[in-house]
Amino acid sequence: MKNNIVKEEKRIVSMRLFSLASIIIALIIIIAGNILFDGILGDKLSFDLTSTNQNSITQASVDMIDSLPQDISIRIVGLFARPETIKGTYYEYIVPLLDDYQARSGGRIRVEYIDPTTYPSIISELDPSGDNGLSEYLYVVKCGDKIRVIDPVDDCYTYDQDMYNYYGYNVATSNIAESAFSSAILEVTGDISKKAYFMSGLANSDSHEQLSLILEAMGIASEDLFVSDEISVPDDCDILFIVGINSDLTERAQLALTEYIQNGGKVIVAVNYADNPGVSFDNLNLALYNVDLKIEDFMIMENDPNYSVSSSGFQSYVVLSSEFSSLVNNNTMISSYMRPVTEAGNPMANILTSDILLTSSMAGRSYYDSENDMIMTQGEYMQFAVARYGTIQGVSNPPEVYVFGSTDFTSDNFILRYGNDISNISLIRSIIRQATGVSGNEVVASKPISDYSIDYTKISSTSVNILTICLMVVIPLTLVVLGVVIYNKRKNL
Amino acid sequence: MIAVFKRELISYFKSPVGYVVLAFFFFISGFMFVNQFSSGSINMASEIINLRSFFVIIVPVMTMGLFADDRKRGTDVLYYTSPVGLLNVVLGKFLAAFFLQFILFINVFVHMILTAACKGVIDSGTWGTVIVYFFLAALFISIGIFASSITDSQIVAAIVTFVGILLIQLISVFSTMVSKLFAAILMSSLFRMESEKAGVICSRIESAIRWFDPFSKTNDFSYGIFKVSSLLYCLSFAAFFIFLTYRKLEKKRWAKG
Repeated sequence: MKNNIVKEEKRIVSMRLFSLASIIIALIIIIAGNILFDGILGDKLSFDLTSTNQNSITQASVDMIDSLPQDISIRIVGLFARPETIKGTYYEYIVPLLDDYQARSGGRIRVEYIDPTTYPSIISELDPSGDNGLSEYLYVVKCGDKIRVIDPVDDCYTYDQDMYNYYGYNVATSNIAESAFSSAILEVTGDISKKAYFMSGLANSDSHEQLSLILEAMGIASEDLFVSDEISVPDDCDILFIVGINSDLTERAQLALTEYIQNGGKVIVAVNYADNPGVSFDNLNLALYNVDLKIEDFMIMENDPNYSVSSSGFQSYVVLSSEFSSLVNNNTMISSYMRPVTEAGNPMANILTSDILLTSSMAGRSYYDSENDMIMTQGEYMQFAVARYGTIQGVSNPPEVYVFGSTDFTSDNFILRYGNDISNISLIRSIIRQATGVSGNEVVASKPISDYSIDYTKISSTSVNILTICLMVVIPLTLVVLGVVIYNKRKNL
Repeated sequence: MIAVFKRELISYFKSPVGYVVLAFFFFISGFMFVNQFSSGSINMASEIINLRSFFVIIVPVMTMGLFADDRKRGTDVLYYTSPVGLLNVVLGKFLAAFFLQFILFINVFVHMILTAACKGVIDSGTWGTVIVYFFLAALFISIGIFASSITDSQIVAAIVTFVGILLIQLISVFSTMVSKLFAAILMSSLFRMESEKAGVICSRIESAIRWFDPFSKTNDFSYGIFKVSSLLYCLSFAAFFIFLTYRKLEKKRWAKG
């Protein structure tokens, strides 16, 4: 009997040990299994199922990262604690994207989140000189001594410009985070061997930050060239931009530009009409005369309904000429408030000019009548060139001048509104490549953001009231009543 | 197992519990949907993510009676005497509670249909949150079932489940607090560690704690990223708690013997 009791106790103890051991082993297996699975297959069995691959890097970025040396080390530091809830914030499309950069970089890119309020020394560690004005909530891309700062709000999204202009708040239309980070990685790792200058100080109507980013992605640094009494185009200038100017060149600037063109300079000019209706670009035209180009003093009004975008005729489609059609896939572009670019009548035989962008053959002239404050139209319908190219043949270092009668190919406003992969910007990128000889990387396209708006016609106070009554009153109350009835019926069972 | 499943599912609707849970869930989800509808923009993923916060209330109510009630009434002896295996009993009860979650979710599916009818967007992020919802539900129900098996008081079971789910929901907050505490200690005069080194150590501690957070792990689904490892995590820990429940009940068999 006693033996049986001892046996029973032994059995219970062994069962208890077995039970405890099985629980511990199961827990270890589960944790170890999860860690192993996460480490080995976690990234491989992770799928970005968004229709526009918002959260994963595109092949262009993968190729760019693959082309980097194996031993390079790039830090992407978010100057804040890793955000927990990112849905509906600016970080929604950035945090998962950066995780993908890290996962697909083969150890070359490390993404960190360091809050400078907890670790203040991180600022001086990343930017010892303090030149970059680092502060909380920014991202820093660092490789060696080079750093690039990315603002999640300003640099990672395009916004609906109409909403901003009319209502004063930002509505993101597309995500350009990948473009910003890939450009930054290229900038901090790459050999920037080319340099672009932007002529500034001529009442420029628009900034050129977006164009500068595009140039950086192509390995071209950019700097402003302020128009002064001593202006001359620097020797290291590979391409000169005169974009968005609203006043004519000064005489000194015209001489500097003429000299630059005569020495084989590469120039891109872009002006429109709406921002400077009363301005004649006489000095600019004087410099452009060297390549037989001229910007006219009137505006194009498109009369062909197939080309018109707006009813006014001042925003319309323009078509790439056959000579330049190989530069981009889509030959039709959108443009507004255009000045025509024509031949200047330079008799030199070795000048070659060609059309780049053309209107329909039903376009007309219009101009602003300041006395009556109205747009006047005149003359017959014809086809205009909105952009032209001029060069001089038979010289050792031929100039290349591209003149656009619209700023819809270079301006921040346009890029922020339509994204950086629209054909206008593809064209300007191809032209920059052609002029400077850089190979450049494929641009990372902007990715449109889902718009969760519903059909506004369905929203009325009646429909809201019906839904409120049905979903929040009738159904829950019915269920509560049912519960009470069931309880009363069964409470004595 | 099917017999237990049927019995448990029906029992939800033979008591006020099922109706109260349904009414509460329908009211909350209805409130969220109407709010979005009236603003003219409906993101179903947001609604589902917000509904997950109510697991902490719904799951304890759903699971508190599953085993505790039987123990209190003494009917738990049937687990050991009936021809149904103990594991089947546990799985049957688990599936019944899980199926109730499906019934609750019908309401959200109706909202999705209404959204689509109003030309709204149901994207991959929405479907991702739907999937995660059910995997998290499985995890929390398994915790609730385990809590119900360790006591004969439904109230105690509900409180244990409530605290368990609340702690899980707060893991990321704890991880940040622990990380900051470690940072302060490491950089104090006691250790005098450089802030960068301390930062690296603390961010690793934070990541290690956060690794256990099912909410952080499954966050990416709402952006349209599907990660098998996150789902496996939820499933494996759900299986672990079911196993714990089984062992707890099994113990009674040999402890009695």
